[in-house]
Parts: sequence; C-alpha cells; structure tokens
Amino acid sequence: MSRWLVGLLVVTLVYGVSVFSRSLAADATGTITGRVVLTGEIPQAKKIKITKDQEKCGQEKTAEDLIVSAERGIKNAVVSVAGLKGPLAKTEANATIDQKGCAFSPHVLIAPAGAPVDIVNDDGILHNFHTISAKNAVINKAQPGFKKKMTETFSQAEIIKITCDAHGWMAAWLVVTDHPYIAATDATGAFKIANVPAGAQKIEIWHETLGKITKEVAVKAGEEAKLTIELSKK
Amino acid sequence: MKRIFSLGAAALLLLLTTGIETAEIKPPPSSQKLLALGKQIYGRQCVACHGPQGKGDGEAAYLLYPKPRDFAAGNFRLVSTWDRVPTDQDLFNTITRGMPGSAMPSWGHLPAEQRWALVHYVKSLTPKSLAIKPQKDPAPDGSGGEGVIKVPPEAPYNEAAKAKALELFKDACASCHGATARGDGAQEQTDDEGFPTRPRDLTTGVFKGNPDPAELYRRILAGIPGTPMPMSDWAWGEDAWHLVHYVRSLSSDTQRARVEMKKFEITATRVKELPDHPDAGVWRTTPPVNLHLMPLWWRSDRPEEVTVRALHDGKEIALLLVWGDETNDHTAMRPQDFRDAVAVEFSLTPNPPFFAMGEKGKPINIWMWKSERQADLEPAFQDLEKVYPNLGIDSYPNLLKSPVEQPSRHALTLESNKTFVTGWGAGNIVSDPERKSPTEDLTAQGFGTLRARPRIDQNVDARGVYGAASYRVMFRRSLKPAGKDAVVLTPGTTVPVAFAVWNGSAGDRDGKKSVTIWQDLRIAK
Repeated sequence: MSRWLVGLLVVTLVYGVSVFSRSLAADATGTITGRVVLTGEIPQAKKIKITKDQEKCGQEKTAEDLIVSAERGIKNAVVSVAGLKGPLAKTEANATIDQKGCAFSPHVLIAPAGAPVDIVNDDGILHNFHTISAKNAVINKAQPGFKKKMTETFSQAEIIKITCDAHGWMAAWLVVTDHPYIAATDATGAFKIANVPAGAQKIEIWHETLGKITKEVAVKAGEEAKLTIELSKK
Repeated sequence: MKRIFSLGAAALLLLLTTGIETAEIKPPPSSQKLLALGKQIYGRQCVACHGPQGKGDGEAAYLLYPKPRDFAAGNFRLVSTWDRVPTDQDLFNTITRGMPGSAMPSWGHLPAEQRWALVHYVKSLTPKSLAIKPQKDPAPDGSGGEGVIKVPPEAPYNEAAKAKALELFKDACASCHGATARGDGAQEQTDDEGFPTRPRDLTTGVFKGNPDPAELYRRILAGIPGTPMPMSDWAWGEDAWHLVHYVRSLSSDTQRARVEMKKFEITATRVKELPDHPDAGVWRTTPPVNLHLMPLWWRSDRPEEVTVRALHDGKEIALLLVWGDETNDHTAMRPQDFRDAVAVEFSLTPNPPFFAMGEKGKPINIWMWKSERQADLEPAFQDLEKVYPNLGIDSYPNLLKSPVEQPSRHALTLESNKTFVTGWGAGNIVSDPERKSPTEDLTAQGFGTLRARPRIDQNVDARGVYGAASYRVMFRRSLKPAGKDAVVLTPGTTVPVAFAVWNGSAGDRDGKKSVTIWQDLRIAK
C-alpha cells in the first residue's frame, strides 16, 4: 500500500516539475527579426503583356515571381521556425485573398491550417481558383464575376500554388501553417517572428523562385535575434 | 380466357424483369476472382497505352494526345461527386463509352462483368483512397456538398431560361470556351501535368464525358479534375440545368453519337460478279456502313467517318472504303511530305487480339493502300526526279548493253540492272518500280513489327480514285489467301476487322492516324 502511495507522489512530482518547466519555457521567448536579401545582380522586373480582358486587367503587368528592392530586399519570402507546433492566433477576420485587376493580392498569403480563407473576386469577370497541392485536395473552382466571395478551408500545412486558368499570368502562394512562428517579408525584405521559444532553433527560408534554405539561430529569452539571410539565384 | 390473359401478363412481366436485369447489371463488389479477371483483361486491352503499372507510360503512349491516364496517381477526369473522386459507376461508364476527344475508345462490346473487373483492377493500381462520402446536398450557394451530386428535377427550357443561360454562359464559360462557344477564349492553357490543352469547341459534339443531360449537369458542377475546367458549385439548382440545355443545343445528337467509338456490322453481300472500279453500280446492292474514326493524336480537323461496303462472289471479296479528305496528297518524296492512305486490318482468329497492330503470337493481316502507289501506276512511277529534277546523276551500269551505250544521267530506268538498286534488287515491295498493285499485304504482331508478307504471296489488288474532296478506294482479294499470316475469308463466317485513315497534309504517317475499333465483317453465305 505504502509503495503505491510513493508511486503516486513520484508521478505527481514529475508532472509538477514538467508543468513548471513548460510554463517557464513559455515565458522564455525571444524575437527573430531581420531581412532576406539577394546576392548577385539585382534582376530587372519582368513585364507581362496582357492579351485578354484588358478593360479589367490592363495592358501590362509586372511579374511578381521575384521582387527585389534597390537595397536588395526580397519581397514575399517566407521565414518560418521549423519543428515547432503551437496554438494558432485567433483572428477576427478570415485570411483573405483578393482577385483584383487580374492579380492575386496578396501574392503570398499565410493562412492557419483548418481556418477559413476568403476568396474575393473584385473584378466582376470570371476567375477560377485552381490550387496545386499535394496534401490538401486540389481545388479548381469557377468564380464568375457575380460570385463576389467564396470560402475554402485548408486542413494540412503545405505551400500551395494558386493559378487562374482564365488568366495564365495570375499566380499566388498560399502558405498553410500549423504554428504561429512564421512571417513573410515585406517590400524591403524585412520580417519579424515574435514569441519564439528560447534555444537553438532551425529556421527555413522559402522563396518561390529562389528555393528553400535552412539556418540555425540562437534565440535568447527577451532578446531580439537579428539576421540577414542571403538568397541567391541558382 | 382470363387465365390465359393472366398467364400472358405473367410471362410479359417475367420478360420485362429479365430485360431490366440484363440492361442494368448490378455492380459486383470487388473480389479476388474479379481482380484476377481485371488483371487479365487489362494486360490484353489496356497495357499498350496505360502501361504495365498503370502509370500512363505504355508502349503506345508517345503516339497519343491527350496522354493516357496515370492510374497510379489516382486522378480521374470524369467524376460525378462534389469531392471530385470517381464512383465505380463513373469508371465503368468511362470504360464503356470511352472518351471522345482522346484515343480512349469505347469498350462497350466487352461483357459487363469484364468491364466491372477492369474498374476494380484500375482502382487497385493506386494507393489513393477512392472512397465516396455519403451524399450531402450543398448550401443554397453551392458550397459544402459531399458525395454523389444529386441532380435536381430538370428545369424547363423556355425563352426566359434561354436568356438566363446565355447570360450565365457569357459570365462563367465564355472566358475559355469563347463567346461563340467554339473554344476560342484567348488564354493558352495546360493541364495539371503541364501538357497543353484547350477548351472544347462545344459546337462539334465532342464530349469527353457522357453528354446526356443528367451526366452533363454533374460535369458542369464538378468540372473536370486535372484540367482547367473548374467546378461550378454556384450553378447548383436551376442555373446548371439552363447551361446543360444551352450547351446541348450547340451540337446535335448525330454529332454527339458520331464521336463515340462503336462496333458495327458490315455485310459482304454475295453477288454474281464483283466490280472492278470504285464507281461501279453494283456497289449499290450492298448496304454502306459508316464507321466512326478517332485520331490517335487528337485534332479537330480530322476524318470523322469511313464508309465501308463489301461484296463477294464466292471466290473473291471486294471492299469499298469512302472517306473525306480536302487534299489529294500523293507524293511522299520530300522529308516533309506525307501521303494519304487507308488500311484494313483483319484478325486471323474470331476472338481478336489487341486492336492496334495485334499481339505477339497473335498476328494480324493488314491491307494498306497508299495514294502515291496509286499515282505510280497511273500516270507513272513517281520517282525523286519528279520533285527534284535532274537530281539523279549516279550511273547504274546496264550489263545488257555495251560500255559505250552506258547511260550517265537520269540513269535509273526500268531497263537498269536491279542488282545494283538495293531495295529493288532485294525484292522490297516498297522499292519495286514494277509493282502492279497500289496495296501492300502486311502482317504484324504488335508495335514495331509491321512487315510485308512474302512477295510471292502478295495478291491484294486495289484501285483508288480521288474526287469531290473524298477518296473511294476498293480492295479485292481471293477469299482464300496464299501463304500464312493472311486472313481466310469463308462465306457464312464473321471476321473482326478494323480500319485506319491517314491524311498526308495533316502530317499523318505511321502511328499518327485515325482508327476504328474492331468491327464485324459478316460474309454472307
């Protein structure tokens, strides 16, 4: 009988210590900030001649597959901490991707797995939302001009390409994530990931044309780890 | 009296129920036995295109456009569900009807059991689950449907519905299918595998899936997975019905029927005397049969049908083939030139081998008429000199003449010693300037094995004429062949026969052609 009691005590103790250490870890977080930059020559933005629906789409578009600022900052790169799971931040509004002027906006959208994503058609002409995905079921849905909004849910974390078969130049990326430690770079190439658990972390940097690299970073509690990540054309 | 009546009614009822049973055989569940049967049929009829593991990489796949389906990937085009997964019935229907607009022929002539066996075998080739969710209707806006799409009662197609259909077509379909529905939307497109594809010209009657109203309703809603054709869940309810009616109004039942590969029966009627010209009046005594053709490399400008008539007199058979062709392409000298041609393929056994070129150990017999061989006979042998004048400056010694009489230019004539003209000297019928028939009598046992039958056994005669944008070609041969690997035609029997047509100016040659599936040639007693 007493042996049983001792056993219970040990279990309780171990549990208590683990809960304590976990809450300590939750408090011990830092921030990763920095910039993703291009090495080598800054490319000229490609121009795409529009051949269809010009009254809505315009005459010419600038390709969005690689946008580099004068200071070498790469727009639309995605930086995420690998191997972490975490609760996804609840937001008031759904993540939204808009089809406006025959372009997807934003070009890279980070969306929580399992949460609804609004697909908006502001153009008043037919678009079709066609995903290229492996883990999530492929979607190809017509969205005529009169259908202003559709809502879809993506349950599996993966990077999904989105195209429109009616307008071949349209492309976007939906980054479905199952943790909150992820950010896309802005026009200057800057990003910020807050509340990252302290310790040695591995981060992944992905860009649609420059590919994927990984990097080690030491995150210290209450501090900001500042990085400059260099990507280059292969 | 009353009793007789009720007996009769019972018999009628019995007849009706059995009739219904044979028409709609209940889908058998998968079993080891059925899978084994499926594997056997697959190995015989499907492997040449879809490949041994079903990866769409069969021996003939390179000749085909659109590409044969990769069953291992488990992505299917023709589906009737909101989840865009095919039901067993969807797969069965595709096998039965084929896919017009591709080189997938109909297999409706196979017994239903064999087709169900194929369904289960094809499903076994993918690790992907093809489970169908329970049926759930979508919300009024079309979102959230699951399982098989339930088709609502057909909406009437009146003036108001037509106006609505036109408006919907303009908003939701014209972007790709074009304002006039001729598939002329301006965007270049590819399928999910990256192969170029284009929206269907809806006026041609070519429907990959069944164009029957309820089936078309489901296709408009579900779209065609793997292609740019999207799901249109917004059309759930009456809108999709309006579109079904409008799209069907753009083509006729005749057009839609003509693109389906079907098996017909050709009767070789017995007559006293066989004709010796394609335009002989006696052809009128035997019924013409219009056979449906499909190009292996799909194109919209294509011969859609070949009309066949057959006669025999107890000793010889005569076949007349008529098909449309805008151009008379009768030279094949320059590398970029290809000839018009037509061929008849015979199975040597009542149970035919794979319809394309036979199988190893199961040879087929082919009679092939070529337009330039016809031109060789009348007006004259078509040599290179015709397209490249003064090309020949080689000297072929003529041993029958003295050295001073030896020619030095334009030297290759019928008097030349053929020992020095390789192909001719070797007895190759292709190189023989003295050949008497525009037809080659060939045999094959699978792809890449086509060869001429021995020269001594070649006894198929033919005559082809071109006029009014069409060819009329007749073949004649004795019912009994000379030598082996040739078809034996016996009055009172039925022989499996298939046809192929080549249009030279469209670049057709070899495996780039339009073909029929096996047909029945019944030789009257």
